[in-house]
Amino acid sequence: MVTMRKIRNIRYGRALLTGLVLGLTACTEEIDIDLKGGDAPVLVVDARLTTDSIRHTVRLSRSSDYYAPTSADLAVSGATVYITDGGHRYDFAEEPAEPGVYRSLEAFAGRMGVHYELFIQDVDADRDGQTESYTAESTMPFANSIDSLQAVYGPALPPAIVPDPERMGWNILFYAQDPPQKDYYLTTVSVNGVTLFPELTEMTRMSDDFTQGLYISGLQIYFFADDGELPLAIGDSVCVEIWDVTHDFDEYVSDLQDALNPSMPMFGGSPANARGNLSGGAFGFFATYTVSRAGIVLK
Amino acid sequence: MRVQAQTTATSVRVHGIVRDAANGEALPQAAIWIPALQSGAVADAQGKFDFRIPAGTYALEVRFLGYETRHDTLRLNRDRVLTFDLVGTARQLSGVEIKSRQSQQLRNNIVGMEQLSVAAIKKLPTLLGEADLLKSVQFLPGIIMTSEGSSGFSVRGGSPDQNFILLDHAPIYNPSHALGFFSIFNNDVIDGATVYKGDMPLQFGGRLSSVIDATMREGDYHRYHVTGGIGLLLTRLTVEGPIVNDLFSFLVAGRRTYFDAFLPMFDIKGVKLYFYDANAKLSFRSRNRKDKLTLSGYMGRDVAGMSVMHAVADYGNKALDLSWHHFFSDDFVMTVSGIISDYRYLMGLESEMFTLDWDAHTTDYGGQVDFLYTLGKHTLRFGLTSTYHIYDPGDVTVNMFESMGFIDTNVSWSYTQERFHALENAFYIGNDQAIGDHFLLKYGLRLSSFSNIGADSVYYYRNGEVSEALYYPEGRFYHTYWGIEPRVGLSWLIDSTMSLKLNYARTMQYTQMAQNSTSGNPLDVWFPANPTLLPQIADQGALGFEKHFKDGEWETSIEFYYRYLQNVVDFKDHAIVLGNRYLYGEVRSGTGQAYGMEVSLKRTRGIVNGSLSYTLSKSTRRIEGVNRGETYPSPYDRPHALTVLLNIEPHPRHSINLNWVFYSGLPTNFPHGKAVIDGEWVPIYGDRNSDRMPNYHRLDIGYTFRAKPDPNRRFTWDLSVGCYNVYARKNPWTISFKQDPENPGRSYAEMIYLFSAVPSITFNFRW
Repeated sequence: MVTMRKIRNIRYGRALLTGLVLGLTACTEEIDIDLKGGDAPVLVVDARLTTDSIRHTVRLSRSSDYYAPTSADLAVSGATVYITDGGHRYDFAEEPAEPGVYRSLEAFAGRMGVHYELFIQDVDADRDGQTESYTAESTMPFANSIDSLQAVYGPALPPAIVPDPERMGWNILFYAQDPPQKDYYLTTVSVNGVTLFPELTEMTRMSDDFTQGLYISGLQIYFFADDGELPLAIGDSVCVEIWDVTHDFDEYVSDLQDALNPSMPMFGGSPANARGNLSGGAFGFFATYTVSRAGIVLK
Repeated sequence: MRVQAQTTATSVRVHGIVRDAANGEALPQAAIWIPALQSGAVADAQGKFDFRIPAGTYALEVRFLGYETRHDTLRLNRDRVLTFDLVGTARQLSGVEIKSRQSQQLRNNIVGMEQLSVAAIKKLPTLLGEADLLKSVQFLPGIIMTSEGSSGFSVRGGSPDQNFILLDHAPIYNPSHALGFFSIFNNDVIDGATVYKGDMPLQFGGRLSSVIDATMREGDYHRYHVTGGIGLLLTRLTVEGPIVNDLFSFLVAGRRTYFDAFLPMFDIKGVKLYFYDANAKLSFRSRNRKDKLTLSGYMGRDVAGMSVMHAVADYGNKALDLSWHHFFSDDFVMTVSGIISDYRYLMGLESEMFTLDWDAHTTDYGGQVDFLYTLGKHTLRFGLTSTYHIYDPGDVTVNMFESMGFIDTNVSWSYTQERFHALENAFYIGNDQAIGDHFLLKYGLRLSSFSNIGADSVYYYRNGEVSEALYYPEGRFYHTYWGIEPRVGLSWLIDSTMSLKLNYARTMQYTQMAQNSTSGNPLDVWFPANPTLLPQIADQGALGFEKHFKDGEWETSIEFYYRYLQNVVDFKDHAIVLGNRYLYGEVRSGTGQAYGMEVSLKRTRGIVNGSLSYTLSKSTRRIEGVNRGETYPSPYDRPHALTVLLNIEPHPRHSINLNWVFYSGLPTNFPHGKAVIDGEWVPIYGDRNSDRMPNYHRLDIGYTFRAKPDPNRRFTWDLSVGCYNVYARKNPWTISFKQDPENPGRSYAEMIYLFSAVPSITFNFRW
């Protein structure tokens, strides 16, 4: 459906080798594995502050045994949640209809270069009868914005790894100035208002190793093949969203993505927990990132 | 029948048999010659000999017309029963099996040494039917393959990079072909191998766990031969013969796979996937046999690529050895050798729009002088070795051209990775001494040094962050480690069937591989000790007891070992070991322990023969920064390992070989819990290596049918059919945990396994 690209030379080499080996011999099958469980739950935090002027969200839940079915009682309610930027304090309140989801009382936009701190208090994540406090901090990155998009019909354009001249579809290209510093991007795309990859674990990670400081004039970012799951047609509207994230958050997203993909003994070391930025042993991340969008209607 | 037998007060009786190595037939009137005494004996019509000589250590020559002359050096200071197996120059198909095991094995003063003959290697049914040294090594007690199909192996719980793998003196940095499904050792070319598990002879060093010392055989000095084989995926051919009769011989060999030819059948097009390798050896010996000069070379490459965008990944070894053996006298031998070894991998992409290029090398230039001097009850060994190492992880260069469309200039991007240079030296001296008739004592010292030499850039770290970067100009010796490696051992030959051996050895390792995976891949990065990383040290003690029954028909042994490791390396969580110029910042080091017991039972003769071995072991590490500094299982800890090898040889033309292995699963970490992020279940792991993969086991079977033995026929052949993993055990290669896409409220474990039952057929011939 969509060509996911990672201009990471090393990943490319791995993919080539692993693909060749596995493609030839390997088989996949479900297997019974007993897991150790029963560890005391930890707080799971998904907190995000963006440059959009909205009511920002902090989600709090507890970890559970791996095989345990998800249930609503994992939500952590009744916490005190707020963010400070050194001068101002933004308070968050739990949504009555959504346990564990806290939104800022006011809509506000995060500002580039500002250092934010998240405070989570009055929480008993491990259910030991005593409340704990957690903090995290993050500085909003500086970022560019997308100038515009372009849609080109034809075979997949470079740098798609294996362009197939027979396979036609819509290429979505973007135009933007890449700032001189090293940046980490996450991108997602929506078609006719429906976001295709809303989850962090599905977003495309991009680094600007090759384009640092350059003007990007028409980099192919998505390809919708006609014979893919989601062929596009004239009149469809496509919107690309690019987040400029901190290095730490990029690492965290990479860890999440690694954790959800099968590890290859050839390349993976021991799997390890995703690296979060919260104090007190909580799992998760307080992320600050800029968001820029551009849209186009196919003609 | 006795000829010129000398009898003195301290004489010993030497008796036994001379046989054909291929079929065990006696060789009547074979000659045994002892140059030092200018005397010898001739075997009788049943191939038996019986003579007395003064006690001492002697070089022996055993000759029979139409067979390769055997040269052995034996310590004959008590009565001995010897079996000499000679290899017919006309039919060497089944290779050389070096045996006079009854005495030799009991008497070698080394704990944990195994000799692998070409014939023994050939007996093992293997994946795809290709006889393979490293696959055979994996069946030895205490040695376990690291993962399915891999050529990597762990010796007594150590990591694969702690094994020193040598081909004619040259270290082989990556012994794998096809990601490990084959090794670089062509069984038609090698002359067997000796495996040392920790109790390394003094001339070896630089690795903690083991030495695999393989040699290429010399071409036949008298006749031309063509040896070859055709398998499902691989063809090999060896040509050898005299250049000057009796003095100068050559051997050249090549192998090439052709599995790429089958890819279109699976609808895989435009893919290159093959390997090839070549061996060559020139051997010259003087008429008086006092000098021998050999030049041997190996080169191999694995290629994987796609025609689209000219993508290619390519890796391989090159090794070259020039050796000179000189006998000052029968008691004083000198070996001088010079080697070059290079392991290289490269990856490339080339299109009109962009190119990518990565070319990495690990290169050694080395020399060694080794002296072996026998004086009465003493065998003195001393020598010097020196190796210059170049570690070049390679720069990654990417060029993007305007024609890509999205940039308006050509862009060249390069990721520089630091090269390192080092000089590793060692001087060693030791003595092997007989004390009375029942004790053998060995003691020796290896002094090693490792110097880092510019031009290198070294990053210094504080709390995991780079605190300083220093550049050392070319030729500058900017850091040196010294090592003192004592090695001692005592053997007690309780009687002619029993021995007890005890030894202690220290080994030091100054270079290691950045590899935190279990199965290995071609993108090896070797990196040296330097001011920020201490050399690894192992102290190992071992105790072995061996007992033979029925004149060596049955052999039993039990060995205990304990190993303490210092500065052993592991990697921090989420370490990036590839393409990372801050690699040293990813390394964590600490201490480790390994101990265990290895039991084995062998039947060496008979229609049904084979071996059974069991290992009980434990291997742990304790490293600051991993699992809060608590002790944890080392990545290669397998508590139980059981190997059964069974050969059924009812007739010289037929044999059936079975092997069954059982290993405990390798340590790993599984999720102990989960966090729900954006509706996705993200695993929360327990401590590193706190869980285990399921146990591994499989059975392989092979059947070999041979040409009728006929000494008058030059052409011989055999046909082997086999099956790897006969009962199709699905051994997990990797396990991952997934949320059910159909039912997001459920999660399950999913394994990838590499092989079900894999049949093979191979035809081998020799002319």
